[in-house]
Amino acid sequence: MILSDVIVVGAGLAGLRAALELNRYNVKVAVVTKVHPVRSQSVAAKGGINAALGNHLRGKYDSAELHAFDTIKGSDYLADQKAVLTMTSQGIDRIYELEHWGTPFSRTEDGRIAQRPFGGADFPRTCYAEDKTGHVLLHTLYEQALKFEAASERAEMKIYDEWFVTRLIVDKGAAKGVVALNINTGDLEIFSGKAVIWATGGSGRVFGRTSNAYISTGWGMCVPFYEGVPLKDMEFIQFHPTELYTNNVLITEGARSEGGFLLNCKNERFLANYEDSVKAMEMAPRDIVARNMQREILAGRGIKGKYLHLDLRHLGKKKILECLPNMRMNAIHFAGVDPIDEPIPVIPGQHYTMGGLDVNIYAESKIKGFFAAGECACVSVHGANRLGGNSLLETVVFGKIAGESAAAYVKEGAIDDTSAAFLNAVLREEDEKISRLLASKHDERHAAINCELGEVMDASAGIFREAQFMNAALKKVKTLKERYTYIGSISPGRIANFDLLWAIQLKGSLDLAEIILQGALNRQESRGAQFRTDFPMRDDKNWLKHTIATLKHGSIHLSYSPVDLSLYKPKKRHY
Amino acid sequence: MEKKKTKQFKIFRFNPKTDKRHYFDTFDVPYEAGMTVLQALNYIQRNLDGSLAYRSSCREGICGSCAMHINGKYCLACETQVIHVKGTVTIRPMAHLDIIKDLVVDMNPFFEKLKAIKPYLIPGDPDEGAERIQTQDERAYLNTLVDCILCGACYASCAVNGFDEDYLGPAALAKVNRFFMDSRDKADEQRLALVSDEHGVFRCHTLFNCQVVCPKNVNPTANIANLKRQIIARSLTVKFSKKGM
Amino acid sequence: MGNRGRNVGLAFHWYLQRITAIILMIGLFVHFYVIHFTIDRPITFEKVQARLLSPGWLIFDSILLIAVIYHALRGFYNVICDYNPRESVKKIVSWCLTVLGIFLIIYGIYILIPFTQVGGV
Ligand SMILES: Cc1cc2nc3c(=O)[nH]c(=O)nc-3n(C[C@H](O)[C@H](O)[C@H](O)COP(=O)(O)OP(=O)(O)OC[C@H]3O[C@@H](n4cnc5c(N)ncnc54)[C@H](O)[C@@H]3O)c2cc1C
Ligand code: FES
Repeated sequence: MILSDVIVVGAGLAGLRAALELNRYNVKVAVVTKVHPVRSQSVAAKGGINAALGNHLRGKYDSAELHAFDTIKGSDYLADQKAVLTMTSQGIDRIYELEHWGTPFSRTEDGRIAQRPFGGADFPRTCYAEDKTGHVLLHTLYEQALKFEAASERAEMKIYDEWFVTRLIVDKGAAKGVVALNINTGDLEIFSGKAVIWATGGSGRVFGRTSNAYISTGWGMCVPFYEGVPLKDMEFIQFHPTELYTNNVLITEGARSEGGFLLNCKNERFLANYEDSVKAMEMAPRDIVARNMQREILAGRGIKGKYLHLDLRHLGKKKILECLPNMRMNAIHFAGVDPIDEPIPVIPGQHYTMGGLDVNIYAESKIKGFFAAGECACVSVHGANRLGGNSLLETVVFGKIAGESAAAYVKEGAIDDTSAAFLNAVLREEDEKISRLLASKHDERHAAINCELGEVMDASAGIFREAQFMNAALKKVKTLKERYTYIGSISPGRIANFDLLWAIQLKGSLDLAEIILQGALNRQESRGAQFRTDFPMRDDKNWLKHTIATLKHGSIHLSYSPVDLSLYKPKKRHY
Repeated sequence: MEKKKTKQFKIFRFNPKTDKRHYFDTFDVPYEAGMTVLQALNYIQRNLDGSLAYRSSCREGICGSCAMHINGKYCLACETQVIHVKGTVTIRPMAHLDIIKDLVVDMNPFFEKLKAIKPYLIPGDPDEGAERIQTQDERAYLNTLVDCILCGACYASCAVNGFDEDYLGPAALAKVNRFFMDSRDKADEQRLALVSDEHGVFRCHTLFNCQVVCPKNVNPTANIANLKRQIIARSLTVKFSKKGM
Repeated sequence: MGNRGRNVGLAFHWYLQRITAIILMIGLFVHFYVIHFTIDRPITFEKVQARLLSPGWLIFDSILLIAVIYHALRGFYNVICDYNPRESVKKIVSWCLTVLGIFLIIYGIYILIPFTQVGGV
């Protein structure tokens, strides 16, 4: 058993930021992560992180309030407005703090943090480091974590990497730790503490065509869900307009904000033909651009009928090399296309999970001592559609808040009263589960189910949704879940058994798929990223509310909760 | 349907629990243009042999999980196109690190060395107020230096790491230069002192292996050379511009 | 990993190794050229002496001698160190090589001296 005050699950930006905050409060913390911290999804973020610093020439009159308004409007008014304002106003300090810790942001001519325009924002407020923003941020936080891991003046902080969490331990209504599998040795261990902070990131791999890393399977969101933490707004899935046609590697929004054009097979900037994007063109928010791209492809105006072109050639070699070097290498590596000479083949694809574990503005959940932050949580600051650059901000702002809340919770005298017998029973249960899975003689392979799941989700829960297809998909997901019970033929042994890990995680993907489909089916309106062809209008009267999914007797139950509208009245979105 | 072409993969296998010696397994993988070596490994793991162990995460060359030895060179499996590899694809794990299973190696020594060099900004002034000012030119020195993804390819390719297990290695040394070159960092002397011992920069034989294999063109060799130059210049009390790099 | 710290000696030797390398590059070229292309065969004591009587050549040869010996022995020591031997082994090797080096340098210069005595030994 490994003892600590607080257990942080996940070492992406949100997890590391929370751990650093706990360390600042002199609370002992163990960070548990299934991959080494710098291998987390956050490292792949490219475009930038938003904050109203006002460093750009056109950004002088920017403010946290304006940032909040853009975010709320972008969210199609489903975001909780005070939470958004908290994020945008605290965000400014978080960015400066990251800079003080050593993040090598790109700079303006007068040496300040450079900012670029991003979709849906009235001012250029996206701070960036070339097109590797997530990479430099995550490495900075990792460096700080190493600094305090080595420092002796504060309470212990330790990172346990390559430990896969299989279960959240809840005792008498309070979170008391997690069970985790040491991937490299196969040992199962209990991490016991007084509070748990969850930061396991997104769940893009529920879909087939996604920009997310292989590790974003959704299992992370499901572990607390199984123990009673509700999931909020899961039907809101962001589809990023520009992912490489070949393998869905992301082409950053920065490519459009630096001036790239989207072209159809007739070489025209088709966004001008649609009412909701005619003014902002390529800089309209992601849901709108992605939808209009999909419409263009469906109308047969895609290149070879399949994809569209993102043309950067007019930006010139110098600009591309200066601002988008990583994007260029990705296009060369994965599509065989050098953006300096040729347009890039792109399609829209799954990118971000707006929904997540239901937490409030202090990152607290329904379960005492359980906090969540980052992409796996839903405060909600993104509502029905996230603006580019806001999720990195969310990770650091709410990562810190989660750390503060957990520290306060621990200091206010949360006690570690869980009996060793209880913990051991949990451990035994988990161990048996794994042994059973390994011993299963059935021959259903996880890979096949996973593949079919991806296909059905892409086809029915994608950019355009319709009741009849979703009903069929729901049926299909249920048969897949049925088939999952016959999963087997997993490679034996416990050392570095990745076969086992994928098999376990598939269960999470399947459950999330069901929640997503259920939520989307129920919500009979189009809002933000959810577009129902059978209900194409937003319906504030009936649906301006959050979807809350809970587990009741093993099946999924949906209920609804109100949205905080205390600052701005809902209006129609136009860009 | 047109039959897909297949490629032969010869993969290093070793499970310390069950095997006395390592061996190679061969697999035939159907492929088409655009498939990466990592995707081929996925295909094998999912469909042919579930016990194959390797790390993967981002599949876009930024997380540093998948460095391995592919047909004579250390590279990222996810950035290597199958059609670009001639003949059989032979895959080995990274050298100089203990094998946990198959292509998964124990990266701890690599990260221990990173920890030893104080890999974080040590600013001179307290962290207060808005951002520190850094000119575009000052930032430009860091351009490739901050791109390191800690994949370990340089470490595995460096012959010196094979001899001297205390040698800091290219990645950690390049990281020292990353901070040394940062105009906001005010610990020049401390950083140079950390790397001027026997297992530091002077152990480097300038073999250029790290420069050749680095998937992000960080060029550790040049970084190490800069540190050597700075150390010598300082012991001769010559003022040497950092811009020399 | 132990304590890492400044090691001035190391930097000095590393630098000296580069300097002697440059001396060797130029010096060996001159040396071979002079010995093989400017003196008619066979090489005799007198012919060599005729050159070495000029102090410039004497200094040149002495420097070349020292550079060669330093460079070779330091190189040898580096190869040993690459294998990361124990501190005691390193110390012994280093002492042996220093003694050997000093001996070779003295011996080499001792050999040069007869050439400088007009009239022979
Ligand atoms: C390609 C791409 C580009 C993006 N670009 C931008 C951008 O430009 N701007 C922006 O604002 N946002 C961007 N985003 C979104 C943003 O990167 C993510 O929302 C954010 O990084 C999520 O961070 P996180 O800390 O919540 O989680 P992650 O970084 O995903 O970290 C999750 C952590 O949880 C751990 N974990 C998960 N499951 C388990 C388990 N079962 N046991 C133990 N550990 C576990 C993982 O090891 C990992 O350390 C991008 C996303 C993608 C995919
Ligand atoms: S999988 Fe991330 S670098 Fe290859």
